[in-house]
Amino acid sequence: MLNNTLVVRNTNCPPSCALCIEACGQRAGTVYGPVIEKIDLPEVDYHRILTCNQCSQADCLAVCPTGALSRSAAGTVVLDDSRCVGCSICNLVCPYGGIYHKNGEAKSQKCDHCGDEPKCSQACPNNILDYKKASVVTELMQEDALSPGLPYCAGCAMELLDRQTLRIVGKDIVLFGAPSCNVLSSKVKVPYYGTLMTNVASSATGVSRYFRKIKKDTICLAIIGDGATADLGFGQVSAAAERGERILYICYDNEAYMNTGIQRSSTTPFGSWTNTTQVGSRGRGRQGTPKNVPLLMAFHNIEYVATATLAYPEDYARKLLKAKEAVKRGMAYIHVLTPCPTGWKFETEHAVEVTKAAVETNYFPLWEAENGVIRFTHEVKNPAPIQEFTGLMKRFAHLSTEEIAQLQEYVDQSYAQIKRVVSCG
Amino acid sequence: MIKVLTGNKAAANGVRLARPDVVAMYPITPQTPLAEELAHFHAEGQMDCEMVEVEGEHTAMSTIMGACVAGGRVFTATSSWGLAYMNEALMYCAGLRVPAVMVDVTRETPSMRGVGGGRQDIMSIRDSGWIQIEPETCQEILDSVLMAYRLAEDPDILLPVVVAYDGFYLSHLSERVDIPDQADVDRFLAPVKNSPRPNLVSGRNLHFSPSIDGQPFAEFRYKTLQAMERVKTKIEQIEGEFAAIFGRSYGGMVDTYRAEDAEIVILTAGSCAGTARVVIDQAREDGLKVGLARIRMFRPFPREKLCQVLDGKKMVAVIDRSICLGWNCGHLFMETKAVLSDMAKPPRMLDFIDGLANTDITSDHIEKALAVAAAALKGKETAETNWLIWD
Repeated sequence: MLNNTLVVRNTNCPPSCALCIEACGQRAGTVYGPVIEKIDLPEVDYHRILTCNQCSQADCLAVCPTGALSRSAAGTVVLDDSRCVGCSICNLVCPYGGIYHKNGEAKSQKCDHCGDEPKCSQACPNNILDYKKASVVTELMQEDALSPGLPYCAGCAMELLDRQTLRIVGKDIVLFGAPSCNVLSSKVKVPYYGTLMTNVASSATGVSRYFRKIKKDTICLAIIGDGATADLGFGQVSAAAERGERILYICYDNEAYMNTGIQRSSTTPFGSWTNTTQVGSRGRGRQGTPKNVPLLMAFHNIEYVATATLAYPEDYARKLLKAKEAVKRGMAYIHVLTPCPTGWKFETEHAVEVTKAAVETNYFPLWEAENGVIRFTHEVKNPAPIQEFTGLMKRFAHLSTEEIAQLQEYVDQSYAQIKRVVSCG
Repeated sequence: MIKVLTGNKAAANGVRLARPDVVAMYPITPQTPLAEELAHFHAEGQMDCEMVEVEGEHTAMSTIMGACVAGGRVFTATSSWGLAYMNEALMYCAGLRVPAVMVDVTRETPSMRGVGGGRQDIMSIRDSGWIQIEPETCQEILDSVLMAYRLAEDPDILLPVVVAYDGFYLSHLSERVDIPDQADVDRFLAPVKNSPRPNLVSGRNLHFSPSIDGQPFAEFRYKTLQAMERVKTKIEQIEGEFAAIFGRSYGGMVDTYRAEDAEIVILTAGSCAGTARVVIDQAREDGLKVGLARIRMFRPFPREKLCQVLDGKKMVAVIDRSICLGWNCGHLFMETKAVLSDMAKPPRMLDFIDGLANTDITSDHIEKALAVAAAALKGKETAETNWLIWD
């Protein structure tokens, strides 16, 4: 069972910041002070936050002799103070230091997520503490229609995207795919339609129109890369949007043609190396700014448009639900940033971290457009400099300080553009 | 019901009577009046279909292919550059054996704009896997559209069909047309109503255009080839059923006129066959043994049928409305010439290029071609390919 989770980002806090600990100390009903700790090792520049992981197989729960520890309906491990005798066996078995004695009292204490609204997360100005209501995702999950293994590179975010999308949208669909890494024919237990690079939206139009003719509600779901969406398929995507076709269109944006070996697309960012925007005595990677496809789609005034990432699965889940409703009336479009470890050149375990950094640097802001109104779904309080994103991968490794500054400027401009639309909305 | 209709309106009536589920059209000269007539039928409630107002021909083809894969009966129509623009999706449609039906109102495609009739456009897709029917009259256009659905959706065939008729010379020509009764058309099309074919509403999780390579791919292509061959017998059967209900037939793949005892055969396709008939009648009065072979189905090419029709003939004078660059002749000539090696005593062949970009194939021109062919038979040295437009 997946729980609601306090996600602690694996990154340094500012050395002197203790806002989360202060907030925790002031939480309602606190008796023994904060249950969140900070490890400061200035000599190695290590400043991290530590608290209970709410383990799904919690040893503390198993060893408690008085039954003082139990799991709440939301999945949080909670301690009943009146039954705790302070034997501290739980302290001994916890490998993470998430439950402990404090202030010399003969009682244990631990984080209980402040009854589903953690004060620490609300107080954190740096997006390091993030409360995830994973139940939003898990409660929606239906049967996984995909085969157990999918042929992606190690560390690719696509499998996660496919599985989460299909489990939430359900099985009453026709799935559309274009030539890409994400060809799911013979790997999925739903009807599948493989299209050309150019005509995803039009093929889905045809199927959707026939369904309308015979009064069938099956959803036409397209999961398509940035090349077939932003480049050679864009005219047909735009036309389908203009006609208001009932298509749920998800663009997974890995910012280049990855399946064919990393060639530039019109969503490749400024400065990025690809095999067709190489770095040499004259080449400095992709020049100019990428096409903002989700914003263009929003300007088509279709039923629903959103951006999403897998670092915020509950945000994506909510958006999928809205899109699933919207597609009954017309077109719904979700643009998902989907890092490619092979093409962006980062270690295979970092896809989610990279995505999160993209959001927190405002490189990829999260927003949605409904009924002509655009709003942010996750506002970043103090956006990190773009280096926190570019530094995680090698495709930007050649960029000079000036070029990084240029990229920062593009990111700021792009964000300001969306901000203007949001405020006008 | 008897009406005076243009070729485009005859086609539109055929489509209306076939009751398609999804129609996607993008206007282009000389097809535009057909698109407008279908929009009119739809607006008037005479067609219960989804009418997709697309932004281009690539989308038109992709949309009808999608609807057809889903299980629907579909239609689109185009011409010239529109056909060229939809080429990618069109090849995909045939490659996957999706039984779509299309009209191509033929027109030139080379540069210099070329808003004139000609058969150059349709020649560009001759090996794509589309069955090609080429009517001679407005009545035959309507009837061919109906036969196209029977052919395409037959479980033994499952290949798309294009009815390609001459731009302007037929699309804008008004003729007497007998519009069939809906009940009769329903009866004619009944054998393919909900005929079994893989689709997206079968309740099975079917995958369309899966990525297959190597041997399974080759096997699929082999079966496609076999299906195309089966068209040759299927069209005869369908024409027989059509004749039984409507009292009209067109000779299957090759329509002939006074060809049985002819020494010279004029071989052509499309609207100029009518002019040729008049010339042939005159020439017969003058004592010349001449007849007509009209290629009514260009794909599959009527190889066996042509062997029968041309058997024992001395001369075949081909009138071509398109040019085959690299062969110094027209397409009908080139393809018919390939049939000669199937024959024990092949006739001589001469090619006459005419009628490009709305230049008329007049009776004078056909008479001239006949005269050249007759002279050549008597031993006069003659170029293989001749252009009738020059004096």
